Amino acid sequence: MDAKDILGLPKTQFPIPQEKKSRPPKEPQRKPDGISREVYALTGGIAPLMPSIEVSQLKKRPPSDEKITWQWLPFTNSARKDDLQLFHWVRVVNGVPPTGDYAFAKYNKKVNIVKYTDEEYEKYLSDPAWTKEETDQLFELCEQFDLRFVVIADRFPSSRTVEELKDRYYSVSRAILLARAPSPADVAGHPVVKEPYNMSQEIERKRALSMVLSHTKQQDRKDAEVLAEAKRITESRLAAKGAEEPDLPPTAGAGAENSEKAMATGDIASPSNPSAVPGTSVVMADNASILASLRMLRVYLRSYALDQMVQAASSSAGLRTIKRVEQLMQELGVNLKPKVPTKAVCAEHLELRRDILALLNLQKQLQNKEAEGSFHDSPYSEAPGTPKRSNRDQDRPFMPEALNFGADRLGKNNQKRKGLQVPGRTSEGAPSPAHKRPRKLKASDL
Amino acid sequence: MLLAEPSSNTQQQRERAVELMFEKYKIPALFLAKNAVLTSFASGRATSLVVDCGGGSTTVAPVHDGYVLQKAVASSPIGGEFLTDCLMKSLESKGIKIKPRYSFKRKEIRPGVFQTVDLDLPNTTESYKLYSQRLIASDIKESVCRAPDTPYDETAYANIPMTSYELPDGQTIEIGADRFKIPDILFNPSLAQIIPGMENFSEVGPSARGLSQMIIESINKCDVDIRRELFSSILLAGGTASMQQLKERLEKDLLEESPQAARVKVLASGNTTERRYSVWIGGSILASLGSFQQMWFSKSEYEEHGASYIQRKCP
Repeated sequence: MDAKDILGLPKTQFPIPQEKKSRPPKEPQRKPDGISREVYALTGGIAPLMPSIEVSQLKKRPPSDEKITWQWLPFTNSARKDDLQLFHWVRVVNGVPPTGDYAFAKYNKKVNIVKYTDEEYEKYLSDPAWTKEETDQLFELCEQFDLRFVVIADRFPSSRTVEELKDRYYSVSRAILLARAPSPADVAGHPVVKEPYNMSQEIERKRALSMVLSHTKQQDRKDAEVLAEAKRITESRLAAKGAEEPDLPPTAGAGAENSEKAMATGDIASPSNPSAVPGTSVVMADNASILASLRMLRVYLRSYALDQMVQAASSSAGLRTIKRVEQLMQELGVNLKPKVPTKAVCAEHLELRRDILALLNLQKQLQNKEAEGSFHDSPYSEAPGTPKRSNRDQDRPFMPEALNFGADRLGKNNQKRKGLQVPGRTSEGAPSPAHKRPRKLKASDL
Repeated sequence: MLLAEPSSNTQQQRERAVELMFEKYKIPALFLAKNAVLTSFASGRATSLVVDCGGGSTTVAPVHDGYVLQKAVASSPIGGEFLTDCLMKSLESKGIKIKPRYSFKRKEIRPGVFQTVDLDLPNTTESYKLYSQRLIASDIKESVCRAPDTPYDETAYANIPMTSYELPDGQTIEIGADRFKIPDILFNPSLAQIIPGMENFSEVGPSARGLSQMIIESINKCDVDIRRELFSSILLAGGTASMQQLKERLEKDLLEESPQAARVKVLASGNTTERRYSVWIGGSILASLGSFQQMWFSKSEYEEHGASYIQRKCP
């Protein structure tokens, strides 16, 4: 009988929590025995795919039928030539001390140095620069220091460089090997015979390394400045060259690049993009930067190059202008992307686009100025036969104004100039060639 | 018996030590190891450049593969003791008298207030007095001095705020520019000449070089192939090396003068006790290695070959 019955409380007073309790909380994984819960959680609560330690082993205790004591016992070391007996702690099992040699004796390795006798020295090894005593000393040190030539050079009584010592040692070993071998073919595989020590090469290498290491920070900074300067000069030179000579021969470009070390891409033919008519300086600067970026790639398609140029050229214009350019080109019957992108075709295509862009820009400027002009009285316009700006009708078609076009524009320019009376411009001055083109087009188009 | 010897020990000194050990003390086996090698082992490296700033002198020794390259060892007589002397002279010139500990007694008159009574002990020698004064001065040096971040400049440090230090006899002294001047002598020995009372330094002066110059010199005397490795593992050891900011200052100086291609790294164990006793720690590591047991110079070998055999056994 439980308390609830006695008290008369309803048995199912808390049905929900009980249900919750009855549902045991879902354990992510059942933790394995043998490892404490915290340690197991460190691994993320998931059992490793390959358990590194056998769980059962962790709980295994050493079998207690053995008796372990630690004793202070003498030991001998086979690596020693005398029989020095030292003492150390030894793990003794059941009163039986461990047998066998000292555990570390096997680590006593030595390098095999060739040993020569006196007759062999006389026969093969005499060298004007080296006396017998020195050679003997060298070999003794080699054995003592296991061929650590840096240390040997340090301890050698007379000062010889590391390269000299190495040279002598390797040539002696080589000579001995060859002399002792029954036939040269036997020892041909031996590393000393196969690759002879090249002293001059080593000396050169070390000299170069010491040069590198002796540059202080100031020198490196100066070097970096000089290189940056050189790079800038060559880039500006190349841009200037591209503007002057329309047909930039690829070899010249490559030659110029080869001559300076700062540019790594020396032997790429520069994509010559002759802009026959010298355009504005902005265009040329664009070109130069595109050229530079294209030179970075070693191989590229001409259509890709054309795309880049087009993008650069139309970067200053808005999206609408680009659309109008393309519209105009389609009206003219020109493909947006040339079907056969050869050098000449691409050049002409680019030129066409540029001209169309210029035309559209000028038209826009004209409209703007006309809008301004309709609010101004312009006493400065001296262009002959120019109707007053206020009379001008905005929706008059553009065509008839072709002739006045240039005059108006000049008039606008006059208006801009403050207080300057521009002399008569019957001949329309020397309009820039770029302006000629759009007019020409218009005349032929419409 | 594992004996640690200075890196620039001569052949005769070693043989004498060997004889002494075997004849007088009758030890079974001996090994002589160089200080620099042991310091290197204490930090777990076989190749490094050990800068030992000790009490009597400062030594820079390159260790390659466990052997000291003797032709490249550089040493200078400026050590902790020298700095202590400089500090003492500097304080004396300012009129501060350091009373040795034995020469006074402090009585507590009221709680917290002490009165010092000078004792007169006529039988103390001059050298003992000097020794006690040195003790106090070296304590001042250890607690107050800091290595400056830039080379010491009279004008720059003229307005530095003073730190106060209480002498054992209750006197409180203010130390300002000296805090930085004294440690900078390690880097720039000619500074010692401006301290009044240290003019006789000029005998020692010409041969002494600053710490950074010694390091660069030592590395440049080594073979080109190992220079890079030496630059990237420069170890600081010795009591004077536990001066604050010494490691940072040294790194900064070396970065200026070292080549671009080499990466400079100065290592020092964090614990000042470890820095002071790094030689001993290295010795204990070496002696407990299993493969070391075949390198002992035993008594039988000594009897067979004589004391000069030590050269072969302990290079």
